[in-house]
Order: sequence, then structure tokens, then C-alpha cells
Amino acid sequence: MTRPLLSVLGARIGYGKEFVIDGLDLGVTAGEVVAVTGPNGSGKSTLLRGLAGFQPMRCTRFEIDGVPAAPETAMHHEATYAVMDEWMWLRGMTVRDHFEVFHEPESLAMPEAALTEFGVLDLADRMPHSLSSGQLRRVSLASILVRPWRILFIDEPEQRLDEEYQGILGGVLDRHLGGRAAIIATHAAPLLGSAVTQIVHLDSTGAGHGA
Amino acid sequence: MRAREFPWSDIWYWLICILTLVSVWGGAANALNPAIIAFLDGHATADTRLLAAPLVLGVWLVLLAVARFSGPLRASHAEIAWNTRETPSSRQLLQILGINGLIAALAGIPLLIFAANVGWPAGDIAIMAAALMAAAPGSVTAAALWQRQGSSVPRWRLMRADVNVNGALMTLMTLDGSALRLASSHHDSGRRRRVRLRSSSPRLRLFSITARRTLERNWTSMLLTAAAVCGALAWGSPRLALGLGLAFTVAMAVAASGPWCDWVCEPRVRHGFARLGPRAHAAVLCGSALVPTAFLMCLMATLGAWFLIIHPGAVQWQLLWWPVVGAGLPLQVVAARGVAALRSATGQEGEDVLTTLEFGPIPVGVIRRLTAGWWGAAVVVTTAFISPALAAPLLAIIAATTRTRHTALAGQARDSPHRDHQ
Repeated sequence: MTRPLLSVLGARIGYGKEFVIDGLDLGVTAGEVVAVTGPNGSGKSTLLRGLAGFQPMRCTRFEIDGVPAAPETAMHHEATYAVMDEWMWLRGMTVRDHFEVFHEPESLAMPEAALTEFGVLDLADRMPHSLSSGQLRRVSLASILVRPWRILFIDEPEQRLDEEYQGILGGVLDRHLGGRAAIIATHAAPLLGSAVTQIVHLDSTGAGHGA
Repeated sequence: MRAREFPWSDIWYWLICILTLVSVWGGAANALNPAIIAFLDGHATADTRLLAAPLVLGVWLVLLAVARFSGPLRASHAEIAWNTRETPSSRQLLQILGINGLIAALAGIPLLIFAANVGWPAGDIAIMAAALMAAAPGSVTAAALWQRQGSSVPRWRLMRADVNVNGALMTLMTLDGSALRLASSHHDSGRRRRVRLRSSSPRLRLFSITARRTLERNWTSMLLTAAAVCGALAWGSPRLALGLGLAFTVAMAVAASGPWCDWVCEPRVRHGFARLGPRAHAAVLCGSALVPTAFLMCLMATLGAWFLIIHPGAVQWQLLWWPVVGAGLPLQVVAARGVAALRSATGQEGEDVLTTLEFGPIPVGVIRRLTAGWWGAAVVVTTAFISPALAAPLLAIIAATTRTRHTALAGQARDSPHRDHQ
């Protein structure tokens, strides 16, 4: 049996004493794209925030490649990257500045190629705060080609993104997944096309069901 | 893979910068009025000379760094302008002149300051320099040689002529060098710079980009403040110069702390850079504080040298104090702004230990007390230097204010409903 790239058991994530995600188990193998679906308020974004380390998460096991790798560990920082629907840019630095710092030999593409792929090369020397929400979304998605990762979290990529670029995102995942995995919270799993290999549906109680 | 180009233009640029500065500074020092040299020799001690040397060296290094920075910076702007939109040729010319003007000003300002010291009229110097630059280098050299042959010309006049000739020649060479550099590399200077940048470590990239953007945002204000400080010194008020410089530097450090505040407060921002490891924190902090620190170091070195000239018998600790203040103050301001922003963002104002998800427990109380102590000490010692009678009451006021503020914050924290945030 293939060892999961990411393995989480008994995940509990919430706000204060109330858990939005309660007792979720998740296993993702290399090459998989997992779509996390569910109605509004079911905890899709909360789950991704917990897995990415933006929000406290309790669990009985959190392993990457069979090695314990809680969100505050160096291994977690090394392996994961999250593109959430939230601000992720340093004030005073241009888009190109961010991409130049993100870039490493393990990157999937050079900064210019990544920006070109999502049609935002002409925005490279702009400050992120001067971009529209749609432009910023494309820039955020372009960053997944530059910032190295093995496990990728994307929160609702269909938001503020037209169908052409949703298709491009699907193509990027198809081309580059290899030994990597992606977990995507979405209301529209079919838009990602054939890239999705597993669907986890969250109901309003925060419980997950595989599909 | 693209072969690495031999950096001839960089070497040429460096050579020109160093030659220009050495020539102008050396020539100006050489032409110092003999009465001032005798005055300094009579009052300076070996210790004060020893202290003056690093201060002057600091000014040199900052000038060199700025001169080195200005070329690529301007070339980058030119590249953006030329590559992304139609630009009239007059604008290109102005951009080339911009580089030249900046370098000529960097080389000329020390000369003008020294010239003012020895009583030369600035207008005459400007006209003479312009005339010399307009003439062919050969005729200028011939004129200088001809002057040397005249035994009736006093030696100090020859020295002053040397200063002008050397300064003008080197300025001319600098203009040529920088224009050549820009003309040869404007079309791909940005790409070459990016290739060079990518060969460095990501943390160094983060540091240098943060510092470069801070410099870009502040260089106009820095030039204006430098002019105001030089004006205050020439007017004869070192205290006003010190006050202006300190006030601006603190304001600049507060403005420069933006990236650091974002970095501290936003786990999502840090997440993108998480692969850079924990030392990335230092890269952002130091990158944010570098430009104000360099500016203040330069200012302190100038003021230190000024005091050395005006008060050659001054107590030595006063001279040591200026670089210490210069080295620590901007970093302190930026770090303190980050702590304040973090306490505010997490709703844990008044707590002595702040618990965050990624950083773990942070002893903000200790940091805050050290910050307050450092600030208080800086203010009190600076005040003591200017007016000893004010230092003791000021110390008492600072201590009382700090204590009251902490008590109030602690009270707020006890009543706060958000104690479990983040």
C-alpha cells in the first residue's frame, strides 16, 4: 500500500471552545488532488487554515511522509504552501520582489514564466495592494509555480477567477503534481476537471465523507 | 545556461567612484586653510584623531554605498520606462543627466563644505568647475602645469587650483563612466541584476530587497533632510542639526517599519517565506532598519567630526556616544513598532508574555521595558550633553510615564475579554 504523503487523524479545529471541524481523518497520497466540498459554513476554509498552520489545530496524528510534522515545525514549513483568500503580501514589496525571494532551484518555474502563465507579467512591478482582487488572485495562483511545495492548499480558486484561468490552474496541477499533492476547498470541484482524484465532503456538522 | 558576463562596467564604475571621492576629499583636505590645520594640530590629541578616523571612514563608506547604489537604481527606472512605454528622447537624456547630477553632487558636496570652511565663495567655485568641465582635459592640465611653473604664485593657491582641476577632471570622468554604463546596459540591466540576485541566498535577497525598497521610498526625504542638516551646521547650530536629524530618522524608521509590522502580525505573510527559516525574521528587521541606520550613522559621523573641529578638547565619551546612538536607534524604533503592532493585533496589550502560534511565547514585557529603558537613556544622555540641568527632571518624568503606562495596560489586560486570541 502506498504511504500517504499527508496523514491527519482526529483533526479538531475551531474558534474558542466550539469546533467547526471535529474528528476529521484525512490521508492524501502523492499525485492526488483532493477537493474539499460542502455548504457555506461547513468548515472548508477552516480546515485548510488549520492544515496550513494559520489556526490552532488539535489532532492525534499529523504526519508528512510518515514523519510527525505539526504545523509549527520546520518540516511543515518546508513542505507546505497555502494560497488562501487572504492577504499574504509584504507591504512595500512589489509582486516581482516576492517572486524573486520565493524562487529556489526547486521551483516549478522562473518568476517571469509563472507570471506569464497566469497572464500577469505586466503587473510584476506593481505593489500587491494596487491590484484588483481578480489580478491579485491570479498573482497568488502564479506563486505556486515559484514557491516550492510538496503539499499545496488552495482556498476556493474559482473565486474571482474566470473559467480560462481555472482551466489553466487545472493544467498546472496536471503537469506538475508528480510526487506532490494538493488539497483544494471548492464549491465547484468539476471546474478543476480531471485533476481531482478524491472528494471530501464536509457536512454542516464538520464531519468529512470521502467520495 | 547563460555564461556569466565579466563585470567590466561594474569595475569601471567602482574605480570612477573611488577615484572621484579620493580625489575630491583628498584635494579638499590638502587645500585646507593652513590656519585651521595649525589650530587642529594645536588642540587635537592622538586619542581624538583615533576617534575621528572611524567617523570619517563611516561617512566615506556611506557615500560609496550610495554612489554604488545610485547607478543600478537609476538604470532600473530607466529600463522600466524604456521597456514599457514610449519615452521621448529628451526624457532619456534627463535620466542620464539624473545619474550624472547625483554623482556630481555626491562628489561636490564635501568639496563645497570644505570650501565654505576655508572661505571660498561657492558661486565662484561653481562657475570655475563648470568652466573647467567645459574645457578640454588637455588644456586644463596644461593650464595647471603652467601655473606650477610660476614661482610667484603662492603654494596654497596652487593647492586650491589642484583641487579644482582634480575635482573637475574626476567629475568629467565620472559623468562619462556613468553615461557609458547606462548606455551599454540599460536594455538588460534589470535582467542582469535579477540573475545576480537569484544567485544569492533567499534570506540575503529578502534583506536587500527590503532595504532597497526602503531607500526608494525615502531617498528624496533623506536628501532634503541632509540639506537641512548641512544648512543648520553652516548656520552654526549643531543642536538644531542634531534635532532635525534625530527627528527625521525616527520618523523614517517608523515609516520603514511597515514590512516588519506586517511580518510580525501576519502568519499568512510569513507562511510564504517559511522556507527561508527563522533567520528570515532578522533579514526583514535589519532590512527595514538598514537605511535609517546608515543615514543616522552618516549624520552622527558628520556631527562628531564637526564637534571634533569646534571642540577639539571635548571629553571623548561624547564622541563615542554619537555612533552608539546612530547604530541602535532605528533598529530599536522598528523593533518596538513591531512589538506594539503584535500586541495590538493579538489583543494582548498589557500582557508580559504574549503567546503566538508560530513564535511561541514572546517576552514582550521585557522587550518593552528594555525599549523604554533604551529610549529613556538615549533621550536623557542626549539632553545631558545639550543641557545637564534638564537631564535629571527629564529622567524622573520618563520613569513616571513609563510606570503609569504599564500599570494602565496591565489593568486593561486583566479586564480584556480577548485573552485567548491567537
